[in-house]
Amino acid sequence: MQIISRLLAIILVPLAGLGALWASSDHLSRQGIDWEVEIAGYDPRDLLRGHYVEFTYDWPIVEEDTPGDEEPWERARRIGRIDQLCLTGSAPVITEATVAEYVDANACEHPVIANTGGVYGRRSLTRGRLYVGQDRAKEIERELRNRDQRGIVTIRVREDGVMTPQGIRFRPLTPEELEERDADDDTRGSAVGEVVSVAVEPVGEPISDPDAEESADDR
Amino acid sequence: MSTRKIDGWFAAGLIDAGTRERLIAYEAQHARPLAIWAVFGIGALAIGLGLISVVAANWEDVPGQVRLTIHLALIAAMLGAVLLREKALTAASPWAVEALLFISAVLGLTFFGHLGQVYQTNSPLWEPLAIWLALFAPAMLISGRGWPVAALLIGGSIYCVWEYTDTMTPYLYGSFRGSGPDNPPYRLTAVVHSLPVFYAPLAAFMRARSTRPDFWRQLEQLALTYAVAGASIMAALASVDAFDTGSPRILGAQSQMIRAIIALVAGGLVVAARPGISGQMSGAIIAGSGAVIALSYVVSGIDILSAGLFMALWGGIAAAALKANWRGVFQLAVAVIAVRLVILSFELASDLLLSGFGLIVSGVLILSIAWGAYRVSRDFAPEEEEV
Repeated sequence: MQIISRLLAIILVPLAGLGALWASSDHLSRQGIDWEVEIAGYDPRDLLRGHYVEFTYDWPIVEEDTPGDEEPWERARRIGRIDQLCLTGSAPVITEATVAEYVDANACEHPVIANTGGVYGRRSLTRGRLYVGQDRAKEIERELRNRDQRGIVTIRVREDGVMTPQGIRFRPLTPEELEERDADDDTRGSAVGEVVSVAVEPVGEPISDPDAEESADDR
Repeated sequence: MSTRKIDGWFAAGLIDAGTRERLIAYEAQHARPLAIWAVFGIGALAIGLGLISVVAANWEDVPGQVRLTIHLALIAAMLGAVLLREKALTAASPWAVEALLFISAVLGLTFFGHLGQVYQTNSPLWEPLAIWLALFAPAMLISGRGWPVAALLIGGSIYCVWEYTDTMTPYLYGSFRGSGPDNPPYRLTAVVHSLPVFYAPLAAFMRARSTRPDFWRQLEQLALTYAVAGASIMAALASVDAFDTGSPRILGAQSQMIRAIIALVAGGLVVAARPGISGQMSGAIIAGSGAVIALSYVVSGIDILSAGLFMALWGGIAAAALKANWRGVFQLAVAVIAVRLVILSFELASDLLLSGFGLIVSGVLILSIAWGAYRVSRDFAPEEEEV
């Protein structure tokens, strides 16, 4: 009797439990479709899990104005978080992401739903993290600071709308993007103290987390 | 120890030849070759550090599955050694099993982080901690022998319940973090973060029935410390009137009552589980902590009553220590009361400190409190007896 309880407690429960967790993580990680999302970001550290890169998703959000109530994307920008998204395009290229309060499963082929139980709570569609080794984290951090390129994160979206970051890569900015960025810098620089009548195309700013800075050390 | 001193004592006529032979024989048998151990130790440390840095440098290049396999195999090997060789290991060194168990439990905890790293999953920290407790607490309770495992178990439990509280009640640290449910389950969290106190009755029950009484004693002491720390914090919060008037809240009336009742029940169970003066006093302290938690809500905001409550708690602990002959606990209680008296004198006489005369009075008061505490601690502390 005692031998059985010892066998259970000391070997079977710990090893079978860890093994089962591993198996289920492995199984879940293989489900879903891979998409690519542009990001902006910075890099803190998580004591229990080692290094990671943290970033803000820059979804290609469609801003359609219909007269009347506040649009879902406007609300998302105001409160700094997205609850649900509907992706369109052919994987891995997202052509449009529509902000929705509730995604209709019939109307949306590729829904993404915020994982409220995760470290970012209901902000998990605006912020994300990718665990990498220490050296790679430093390298990515350096790349993220380089303003001549964009970071792109590959996310895997399961059928139930749960998404998991898979990897990160960088691409240089296109000449148009470079021009746009420089124009943006110029208007910001000269707008102090004088009236400038330059028509700047509204470049949809990413829906960013208003308290991302102060809560960067959150778990 | 060399035999030179023994020869010296023999030469001075302090010991006779027979004693000298016996001493030398004893020393030879019990010699601890520290120098050789040190050399071995440094060698092992160098190899260990080398291994760690080789692994760390190539962490990214080793596939995740391979890393996880090695990680799990290490845990399995250590737990296997605990299961199969416990008697032999204990005979070699009482700390061997404890060290193996401690390291495998810590490796088990890091396995969760490792899984998250390989599969990019994330979840609130309390979840992996709770699963870890479910998987490893049985092994720790069945084979733990000393304070490292006891502290890991209690520490892990406390960390887990407060992580849970933090996740569920986003206002815990005063700022909304944008996560957590819309209607935080305050009553549930109050129950959950009071649960570690129940290690005390469990340990009290097992102490007389186990071959590892030291482990259970330390577990009970740690759980008691948790209760006393909680009550002290509540009494301190009462001094600054930190309680929520609205209920339910994390510091609301209902939450306080839940915590108080749980501590009272746990204290009662300790008394029932461990007959004798020591068990009674240990249970009384835990139950008293419950009473203090309830009263702290009542006296909140009244300086003198809040301080009185705090000192009643520690006065009670000092009385229990006197009764049960716990020398260290008695001295600690006296010191804590003295510190609280000093703080109270500042609280009550904050404007006195603005004048030179007031400063002198305060200084004299602090010195006399310190002197009084020292005398009480020296003259009245009981002789040491096992808690």
